Amino acid sequence: MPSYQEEQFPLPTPARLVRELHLKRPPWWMLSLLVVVVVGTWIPLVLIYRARGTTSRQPRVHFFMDMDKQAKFATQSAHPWFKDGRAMRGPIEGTLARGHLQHDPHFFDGFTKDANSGAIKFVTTMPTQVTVDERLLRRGQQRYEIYCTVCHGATGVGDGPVNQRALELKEPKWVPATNLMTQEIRDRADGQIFQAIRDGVRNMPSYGSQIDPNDRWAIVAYLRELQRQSPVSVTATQQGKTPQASPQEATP
Amino acid sequence: MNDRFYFPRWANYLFPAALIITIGVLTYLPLVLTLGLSPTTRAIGYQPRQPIPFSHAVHAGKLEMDCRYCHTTVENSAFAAIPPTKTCLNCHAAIKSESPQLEPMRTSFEKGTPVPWVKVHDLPDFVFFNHSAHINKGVACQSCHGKVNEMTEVQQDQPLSMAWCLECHRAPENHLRPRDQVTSMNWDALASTGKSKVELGTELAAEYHIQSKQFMTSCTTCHR
Repeated sequence: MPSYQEEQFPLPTPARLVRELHLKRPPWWMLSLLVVVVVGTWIPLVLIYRARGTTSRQPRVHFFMDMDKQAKFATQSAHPWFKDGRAMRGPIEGTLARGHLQHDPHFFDGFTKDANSGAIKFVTTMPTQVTVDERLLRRGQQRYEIYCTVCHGATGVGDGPVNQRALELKEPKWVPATNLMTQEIRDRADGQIFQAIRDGVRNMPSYGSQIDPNDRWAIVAYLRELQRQSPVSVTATQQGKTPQASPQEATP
Repeated sequence: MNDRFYFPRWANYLFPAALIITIGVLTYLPLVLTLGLSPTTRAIGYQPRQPIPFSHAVHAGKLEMDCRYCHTTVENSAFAAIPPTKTCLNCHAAIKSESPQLEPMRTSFEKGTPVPWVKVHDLPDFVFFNHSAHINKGVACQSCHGKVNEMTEVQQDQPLSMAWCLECHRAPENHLRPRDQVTSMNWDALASTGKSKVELGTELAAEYHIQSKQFMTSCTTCHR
């Protein structure tokens, strides 16, 4: 006896329709689409994995700009209005920032100039603003190891890594760093060493822009301490050997 | 009769399939968005091409130059300045002075125009990061910039995201060093002081008067 279902809703008669109704699997294109989508989901994951392990020449992608880039000029940025292209401007000529007046030649120059003859006389003592104590020496050592060690070496005998590298490369223009432990340097006035740091000597460049006056005096104090504690170096010329490169003797 | 629609047999799978696909999409999308948008993925590894192939691996690594030899302002100002061309000339007036790679440096020095270095570590403009505040409180260069002494070309080493900043602002003791070791690239707490990193960091945080966590995580500390 046919059921109510079969009576009321008999299966459609055309043979093809009956066949399709009995299909247990979705059509092939639906299955392959599913496979493609599942495989496709791995692509972003692979890209992310790659991005995490490699470097990129392009800056980060900003999905949300927020206010990350503002219409202002940051430190050391470029400015199209000025000839030199700098956004940061120096002080106007003939002006001076508060506290930047260098009125004390002993402290700022390391020498005094005779008003009449113009003769230069290096100071032989520390300026009154500077007190030589452990703190100053420690500061001097730190500054010395930042700026001086590269050429003069940690012990001051002129064997810093940059100097050694230049000799290794046989650079024709390189003048070997001066040995600071010789009697000649020990005899130099404090002010002369201070002035050498500020303005440079022969091939040594000026460090005035990198080291401020306080630190220059700290370095002088530390160098004196270093000289006190190390043996006097004898230069190659005094030993009767030929010097490595150009002569060490010269006046600043 | 024949205009009636009949579901084929396989339609029985549609409901469970739809369930699985919904769950899949709901886990997949957050996963991909989180990973893909995260600063760890996008920001780390930024290595722009610089006008001069300056190698920190040679200068800071092989020649053991201190960071502050060139970046002189780092202890006193918010910005760790890119050195003026004159600093390059300190040595390169005599060493490799004819090198074609240094041509932009020579042009810059002759004409008085800056070398167009490309900024690598760029924070959003509403963040007021201060280098001197960090350096003077014992946060090492390495903490944010990585092992620069091993980088032939500088690349971004850390995500520099706000979450990453806060990680340290919430627990600074995990990242502090003695002030005189901030530029060192191979400092180790245990080897040099015999104390664990956190133990030493807690002492240093007190000694350097590191602000309270409340202050360190306040909006106005970094944004104004």
